[in-house]
Amino acid sequence: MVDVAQHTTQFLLLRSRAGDSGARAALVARIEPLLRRFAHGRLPQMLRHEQDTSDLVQLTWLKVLNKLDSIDLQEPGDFFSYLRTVLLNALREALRKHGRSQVDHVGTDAAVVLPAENVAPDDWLAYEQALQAMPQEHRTLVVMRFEFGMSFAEIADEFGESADTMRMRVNRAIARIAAVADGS
Amino acid sequence: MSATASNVTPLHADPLLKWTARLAEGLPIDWTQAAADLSPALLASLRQVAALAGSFAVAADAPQGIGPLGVGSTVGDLRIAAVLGEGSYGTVYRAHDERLDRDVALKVFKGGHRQELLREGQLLARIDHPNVLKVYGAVETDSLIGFVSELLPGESLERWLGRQGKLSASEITTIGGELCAALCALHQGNIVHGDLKPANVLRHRDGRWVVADFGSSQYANDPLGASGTPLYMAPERFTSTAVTASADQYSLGVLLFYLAARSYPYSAETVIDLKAQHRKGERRRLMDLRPDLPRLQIDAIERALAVDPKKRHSSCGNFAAALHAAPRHRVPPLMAVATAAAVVLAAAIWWPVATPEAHRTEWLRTSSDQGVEILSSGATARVGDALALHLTLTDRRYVYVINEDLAGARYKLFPLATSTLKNPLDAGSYRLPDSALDWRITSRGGREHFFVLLSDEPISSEHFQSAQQAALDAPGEGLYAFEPTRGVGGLAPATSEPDAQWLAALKARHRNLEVRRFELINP
Repeated sequence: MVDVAQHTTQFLLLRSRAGDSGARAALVARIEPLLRRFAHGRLPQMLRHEQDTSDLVQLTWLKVLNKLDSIDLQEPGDFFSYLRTVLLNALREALRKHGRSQVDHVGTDAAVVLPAENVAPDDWLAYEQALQAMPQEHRTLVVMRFEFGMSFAEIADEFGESADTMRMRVNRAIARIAAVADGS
Repeated sequence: MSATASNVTPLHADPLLKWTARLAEGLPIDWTQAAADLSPALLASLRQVAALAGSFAVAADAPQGIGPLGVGSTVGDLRIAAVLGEGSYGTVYRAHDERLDRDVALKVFKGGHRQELLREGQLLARIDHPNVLKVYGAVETDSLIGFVSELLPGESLERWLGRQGKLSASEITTIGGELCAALCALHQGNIVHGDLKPANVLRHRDGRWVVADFGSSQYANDPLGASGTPLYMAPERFTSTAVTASADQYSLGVLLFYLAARSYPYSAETVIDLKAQHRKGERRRLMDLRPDLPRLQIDAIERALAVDPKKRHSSCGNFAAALHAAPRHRVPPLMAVATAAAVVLAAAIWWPVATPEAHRTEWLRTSSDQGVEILSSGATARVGDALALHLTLTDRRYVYVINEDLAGARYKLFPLATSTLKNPLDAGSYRLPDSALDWRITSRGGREHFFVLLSDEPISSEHFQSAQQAALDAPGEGLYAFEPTRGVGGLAPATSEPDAQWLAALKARHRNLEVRRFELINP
């Protein structure tokens, strides 16, 4: 029976740092579909072509792999928060090149890039602010579930918990973000 | 209410957790039920999170690059920017019209008769209705033909429905009424849509329902052949006989049946089975699936589903009238008896009694980017937008427009001292506060109510209790601001909640008072 811990992203990252090329390939195979989904969902319609998505994913990977040794991974899921930051920076750069800055649009320096064009900038800003106000674990869980579209089983693998436990913890994280947005 | 990591509340004992659990699973939320469990502010937050969660899924699922045209290529003045979707009739692109400098949608057909499509494009271009996707015209090259239309910000009814719980009678009537209006406009232009279904209805960001996808459209009375989606197709379309606009009415009936019950009238898996069930009349009944809906609404939808076109409503206009004749929520049987008796009594003493549908109210919004739009259920508005009320009276009425905010404070928006319109208003159509003035949205806010009071006698201002008159903002600009400033997020039809004390007192004092109520929700 294969040790579940060997399936975690953290495990693969540690092996990659140690020079295990197989682990690096496994890491890419594991993360790339999630990254592609995340990137595609963030691109505005005008840039949502296959090539644009691929470019964005490629750029993000380059940055991540270059800094593989220095990424600070203390808690399960930290890697996904890091990926999110790198990808949003790459997306902002891409938008800037196309002369279109969603950041300027909502008038803030916060890491704001609209997930889709049918979301009001104010709603998105409120979400971002609520996200930043949450404890790290809650923030990570919301990002993994909503933004990366990970299943409970995938999240459970990362945390070394059962899917039911993670279902409950994700639920509490979502309740928290609603409560934060409410100001309660 | 707060749900933190340190909470030890069992799952679902906290009502918020009960609903966020559905969000976490990607399941639709019954917003009516959620509203009963949560405070308005928390409900609004939950809606916001649900919308964002849905948008991630929508964006990630969108197609990435299909169809005959590559991104960056040009067709006439149009430069292709992205693929928006692909259906059985063709591919829809987002494109930029470089000559007119505007973004448009381009639908390129896979096949079809070139001359007929061109003729249809010309006909559709003449139709200008808020519930019909505006077609600008047709484009043609040696290798393709397509329609150029407005690029509508929003999503399909199908997608929207995936996030909803059980729809209320009011929501079904709102959607049905707007789609009836769209079909009336098409039929007046001698066009049968031919493939009405949730995927072909769009929900504009402002809440308007818009009929799109005219790939199956045909001239009325032309044979339609086998195109369309079988479960939505009228029985007569399976024969080679000519069809009429009544086939669209049948499709709308199926669509509303599906909205209400989340299942279809027929359950056949093959066209042969479906035709057999048509012949035998073997199908589900809406009453069995949604006994909570008003009887008149069920009857209106069931009538549209008649196998024999002659037994359907005589037009989509009459279908709409039948839908609107139903109450917005079901009246309990005992209450119905009491109400009927009360109406008879009232008619005997205070004749004539105003009929509920005698007068018409429509909220209009003017914004810098969208121009003038009719607001409907779920509409959104932004700071800077201007609101006006289009009112059609069938007889003389004293008209009052009251706005009540979340805190219960009320503001009289009409009549205004400076308005040229004065009570009473004779029968006719009016734009309130008057032809030259609007009410302007000056900031975001919470849930609010708008009440349009139509009375056959004057109502003293003192009976509005805390009502304050809207203040004139920036004299000379012709705009009125709400005081205090308020936000407007969405316009929803009247809810079934009981009247507030002030309104109940008003109704007791003015027995012929008719109240049109709208709920404004900050999403």
